[in-house]
Amino acid sequence: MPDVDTERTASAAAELVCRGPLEVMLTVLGSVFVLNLMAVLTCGRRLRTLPSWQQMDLFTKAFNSRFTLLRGASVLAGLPLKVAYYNQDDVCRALGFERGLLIKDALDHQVSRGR
Amino acid sequence: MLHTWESLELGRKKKTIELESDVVVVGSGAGGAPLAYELSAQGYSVTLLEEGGYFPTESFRFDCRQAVMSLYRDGGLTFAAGIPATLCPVGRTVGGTTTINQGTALRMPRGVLADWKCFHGIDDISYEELCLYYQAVEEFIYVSKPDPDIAGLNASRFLEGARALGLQASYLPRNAKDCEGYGVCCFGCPSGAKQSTNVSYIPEAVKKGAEVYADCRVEKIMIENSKATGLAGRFYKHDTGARGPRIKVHGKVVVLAGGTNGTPLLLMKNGLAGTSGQVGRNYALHPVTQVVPVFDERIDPHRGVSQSAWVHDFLGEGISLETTVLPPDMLSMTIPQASAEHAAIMSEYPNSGLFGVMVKDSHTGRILPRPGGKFAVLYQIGREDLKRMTRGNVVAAEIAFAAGAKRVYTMIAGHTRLDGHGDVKRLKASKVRARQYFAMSGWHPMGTCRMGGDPDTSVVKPTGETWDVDNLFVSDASVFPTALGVNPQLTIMALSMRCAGFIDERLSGKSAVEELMEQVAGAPLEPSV
Repeated sequence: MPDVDTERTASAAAELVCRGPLEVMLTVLGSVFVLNLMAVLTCGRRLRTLPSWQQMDLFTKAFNSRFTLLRGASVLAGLPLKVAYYNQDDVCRALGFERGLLIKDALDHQVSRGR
Repeated sequence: MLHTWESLELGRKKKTIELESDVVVVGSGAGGAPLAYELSAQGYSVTLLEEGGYFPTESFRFDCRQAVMSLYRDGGLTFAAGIPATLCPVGRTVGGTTTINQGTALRMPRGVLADWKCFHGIDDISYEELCLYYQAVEEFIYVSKPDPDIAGLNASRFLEGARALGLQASYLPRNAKDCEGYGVCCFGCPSGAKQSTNVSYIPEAVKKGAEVYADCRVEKIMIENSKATGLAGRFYKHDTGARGPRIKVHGKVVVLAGGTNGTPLLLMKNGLAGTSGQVGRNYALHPVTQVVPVFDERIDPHRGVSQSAWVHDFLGEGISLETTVLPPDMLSMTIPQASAEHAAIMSEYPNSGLFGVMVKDSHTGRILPRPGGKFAVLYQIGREDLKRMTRGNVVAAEIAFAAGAKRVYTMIAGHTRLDGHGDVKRLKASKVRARQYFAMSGWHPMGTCRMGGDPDTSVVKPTGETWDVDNLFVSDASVFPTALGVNPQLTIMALSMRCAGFIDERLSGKSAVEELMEQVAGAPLEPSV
């Protein structure tokens, strides 16, 4: 699978979240805050400053937590990023979803009404 | 004609656009478009106002992220607050939610209409009469079952698994002509095969003389002497939100077809039809979750008909199981796992399927207006509905394992990964709480302006006309007194056509029987000599 281009993925994720209602944006930001708090309390540092293995470990612990807030935070914070990453052409291609070929095929199979 | 922001050059106009029409409709989806077509075909002048933008078929390019930002209200991120939160995406485009639905076209179960008759006073229509409307709609939008070769491997596995368990399973009827199984029905059909109203009723209505205005937000219902006399609003460019001129359309009859969210909000904003206290209440949405089975062989879950097969054994219990296909970005949302685990699951995407579980909700919520034209939906899944949801997940997992899945992922904390029948039994035996579900979705909002025989408990009459305001009709899913238990678009369209008949009677001043008699009265009574 292609590496994550952090800047590009974050930008696409932010664009999606900003289209939503204000409370969705606040909920996503709140989730990131909760994860940051968890990072500070468990590792002594903010999420962003942790090495990637520790970030992943933190996300997994939050996901498997018995506390609904932590579980929810791990899911919500990641949701727009997942959509942004798996929307990229190179990632889709790696998973067998060839957008360019599908567009071409659809253009060759335009349907009109009438029997 | 179909008018858009660009075609009217609304960026340069300041003066109010004032029009007159026999019928003025807000909403171009399943509720507004068939009615607009029917009345245009009868020779009435019809003006239809749509808040969203117009997107031709060739603009749909398999890009889900772009599609949700363009075709859905609020980027597809409309949520109902509750535990868990429920994603309730609705369309905001010419074609309404029909442009972004999966095309399933099912008639309502007979028992639902019986329920409406017994408990809600809808006693002026029989199931047989309703079927005549269904038949007309099905013919118009090419309803048929998908070709098994096109339906996709996800559907095949589902059917195999279901039949191995002795369940009744079949392909789903849907509104598609010459479908090639691109699997992106929810993001704009790129070939025009899916007969959503933007490619069916709307262009046909335009051919019959209807005037359709996109990028037009209705804000006011004009009233005079307790009668609706038109609609007023303003143009806003659908993508940038740029303000255009105001619009006023005077009409003899006004139809609200803005959907379960839009219609009650417009009524509440205008302080109308509130005598019963039911506007905005009784919000049902058919909550949905899904399981993701992983197989040894390639399934290609993006290829195939978007929603092609179902199990209907449990409809009586209010549970429906339907397959879905999704491109990678959208399927990634259905897997709640975090980071490395999520990446590992997604690397198996080509071998994954998706089986959906939908519940006919008995417990309902409500929609409330907020400042700035915003709204809030409050919805908490009921205890019995939650049990049904979990039961549906158990059955879906059993179908998956019967079909040969090696493991199944769910949205239920504590049971996110099922490796076999032992795990399914454990899920079945658990008392799953609402907060264990990471999220749900609801694609069929209904009920917020329910119809009924009693003005004290309903917003509209069985004809669709509001009790409080003459010549003001509602034609969308908000009129359903209860959830249907099946996908609602066909029923919305059928009732829309029926409502058109009542509007025709109102405008012509003649009953349907009188019109029929007129048609035959010209025939000679004596044989010619």
